[in-house]
Amino acid sequence: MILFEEVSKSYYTGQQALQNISFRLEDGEMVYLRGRSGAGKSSLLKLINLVERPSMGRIMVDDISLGGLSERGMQLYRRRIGMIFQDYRLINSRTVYDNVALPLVICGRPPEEVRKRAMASLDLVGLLEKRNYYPLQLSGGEQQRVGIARAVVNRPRIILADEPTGNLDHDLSLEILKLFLRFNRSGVTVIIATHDNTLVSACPRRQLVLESGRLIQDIPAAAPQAAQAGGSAS
Amino acid sequence: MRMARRSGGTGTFLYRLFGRPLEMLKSSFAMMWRTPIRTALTIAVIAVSLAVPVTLYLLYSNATSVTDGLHEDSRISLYLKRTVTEDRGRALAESMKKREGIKSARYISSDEALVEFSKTTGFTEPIVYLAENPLPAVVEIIPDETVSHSAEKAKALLQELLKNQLVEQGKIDVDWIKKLNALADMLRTLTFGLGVMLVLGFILTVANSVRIDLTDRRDEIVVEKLLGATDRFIYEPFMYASFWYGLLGGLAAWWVNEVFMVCFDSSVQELAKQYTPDGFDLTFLPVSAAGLMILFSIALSMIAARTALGYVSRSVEPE
Ligand SMILES: Nc1ncnc2c1ncn2[C@@H]1O[C@H](COP(=O)(O)OP(=O)(O)OP(=O)(O)O)[C@@H](O)[C@H]1O
Ligand SMILES: [Mg+2]
Repeated sequence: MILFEEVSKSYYTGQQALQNISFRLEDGEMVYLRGRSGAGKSSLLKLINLVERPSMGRIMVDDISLGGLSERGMQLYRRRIGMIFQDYRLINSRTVYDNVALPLVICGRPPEEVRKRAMASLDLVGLLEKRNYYPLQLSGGEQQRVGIARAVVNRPRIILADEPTGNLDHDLSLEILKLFLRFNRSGVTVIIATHDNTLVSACPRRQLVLESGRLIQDIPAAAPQAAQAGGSAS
Repeated sequence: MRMARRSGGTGTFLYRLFGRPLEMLKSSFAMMWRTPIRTALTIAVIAVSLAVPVTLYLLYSNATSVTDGLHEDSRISLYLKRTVTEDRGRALAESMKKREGIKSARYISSDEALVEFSKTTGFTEPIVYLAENPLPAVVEIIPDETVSHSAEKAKALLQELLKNQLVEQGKIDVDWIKKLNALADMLRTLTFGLGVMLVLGFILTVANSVRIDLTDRRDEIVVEKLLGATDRFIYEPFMYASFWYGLLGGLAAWWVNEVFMVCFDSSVQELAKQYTPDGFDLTFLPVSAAGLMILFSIALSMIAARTALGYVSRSVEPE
């Protein structure tokens, strides 16, 4: 369960990124977070991953109030989240394999398990052959897939995907979407921030639509193509 | 199934105990190798800041061992008047032996003195050409322990002996000892003062290297924090690197000390040959002390690194 209660976020620059956002996601739900560039999608995901703290309001994940987490609590909490970053956030001085294995190493998993799971995860995104490459030797889309493999390798309870298909072609986008669906079917909560309409039409789900930091629409899964409002390319 | 799980558990345990530290040792060494010049500089600074005080201390303890040795047979030389014949000189030496506070007394005629002088200095020629032997006859006196251990008593004895009509002048080695002692004291103070400053330099150097390493790897640390890494996990490679700094710096310090001592030894031997035929046994740094120095180096390096990490890593946060 992810619960936002009247959450606002303004950056120290004075930029009001989110205003008075409230919504509730149930466990195992999959939603699209939509809105034009600058609408606040990344900011919202960063609040869930504790990269940023809300200026006002409260965020609950399961029974945890994020505001009251200790340092240690935050570390354990982050390990249960698989975050895919818009800018990939890969470690360029380490191989693809090492990048993907990192969450497992951080959790202190034994080496055989790390190897097995990292290989499986690389296989999922079709990068098994390039596991010994360095991120900068890969194309943008390939780097993005490394980020996806890293996000899912530790079997997270929640996947936060910020523009996960931004650099992928149509077919590959659908492949990745299927991957998310697979995780979602096994009970993982998935939030995908995207301006990619093809994803939404290929697999209609609930949509949260942001505009200038406000939540202007919350479209349930049952109403497929009703949402053209904030959805068009930005 | 149960068996498999058990063995997996032991595997994990063994891995945490040995496998991971070994991996970290290797990878942190590789990390240092990526910036060889910076690493070499850090190690050099550590080596110098350890080698200088340790070498000074060695010189100090060598100097005190020299003065201790001199104490044992600090001698008094009585230069006899030229008019004193050899027989009277020998008789004087004999009579001195019986005095209290004197262990032995030996008469050295002016001819013998010349021979001895030429032998120890190698300056035969010019003296031989002199028409007359310029050296006076000498009675060389070795005081017994009660006297030789106290500069005061030795001086008093000399004053006593100078009253003898046959004696022109006398000289005691005590002045020499005093000078050496003062020199040794100065060495000790210098060692201590320099030691404190250099250890401070050591700490700052390691702390600064760690700070630079950490800033270099900012992106990695941010990602690790985003994935929920603990401080311990993030610090680990830097702590292992500081272990390497300490170990390699300590070893280098030992080497620098050894090279210096070998060079110093040869000049000391050259000098000592002029006084005693067996030369002087310069004490080198014992292996146990070198080991201790290296352990100290490792410990200090790791403490410095840990402190720096605590301060610096707080400023590296994801955004
Ligand atoms: N670190 C920051 N400091 C200051 N302002 C920021 C920061 N991050 C984002 N903003 C501002 O907050 C607003 C929302 O940004 P955000 O990145 O959440 O948008 P977005 O919906 O993800 O856009 P895009 O689709 O282009 O990724 C923008 O106006 C941006 O300028
Ligand atoms: Mg964004």
